Amino acid sequence: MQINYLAVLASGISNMVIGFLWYGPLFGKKWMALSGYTEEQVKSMNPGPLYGQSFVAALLTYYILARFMAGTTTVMHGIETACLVWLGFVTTVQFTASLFSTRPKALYFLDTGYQFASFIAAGIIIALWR
Amino acid sequence: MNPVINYIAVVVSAVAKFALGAVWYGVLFGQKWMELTGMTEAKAAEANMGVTYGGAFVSYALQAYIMAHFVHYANAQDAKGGAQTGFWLWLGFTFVLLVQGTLFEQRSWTLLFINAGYELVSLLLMGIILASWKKKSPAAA
Repeated sequence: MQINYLAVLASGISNMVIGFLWYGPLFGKKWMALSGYTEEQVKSMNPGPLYGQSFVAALLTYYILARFMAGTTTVMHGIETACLVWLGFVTTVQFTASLFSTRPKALYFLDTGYQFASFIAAGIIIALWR
Repeated sequence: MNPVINYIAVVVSAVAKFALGAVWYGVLFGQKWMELTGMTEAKAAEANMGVTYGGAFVSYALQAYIMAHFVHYANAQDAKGGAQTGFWLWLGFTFVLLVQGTLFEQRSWTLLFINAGYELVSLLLMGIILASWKKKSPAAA
């Protein structure tokens, strides 16, 4: 099975870039209001190890996505597979977690929107860059 | 190229995940889960249980339906192949999602163990059901 590791790496990077935008300029304020985190709490986190660990975890996701996309040749097919993964194994898990918690439902939409954008981006990158 | 979906197996998979959830978050880890999430009987009672459990079941059924497609893509033909498909889907997507949530929200690793464990066992179970319970193809009849 041919895996383009550079495409996997690029997907991991795109996931981080989307994350910085999503939880920064785009919805950072909204996320803090919904999750109850304060600016001080966020600043007190140690971002190095946090982003590092998260990046490594994301690489695992895109490596396995690339394996499931082994027969994918078109961008549309890539987007379709990424959508199915998101729908079947990401948003459903976030949705049930939200159902069984007292957290605001808007937080579910914010978080799952980020996952959706990341998976679409990865589906396109992996399909195009073979 | 569209897979033949055995809808009975999809529904049975969703029921299996639901039943496992009752055992997992009830008898096995219910006490610990409530302690770690700060959920109390009183808070739980405020929610509309019909909506909560109904929503969960619909979400499990959707997951099983999509999983049936992946079992087909992976060409899993028996219990072993189904379990393998379930494992990769869990590791790549559900597990990573839960780990990242734990990291950024600085939540307890014990809670991750409970939640990720439930997802692992249920995806293995669903993979086994979906891969081994195939509709008889009309050609073979």
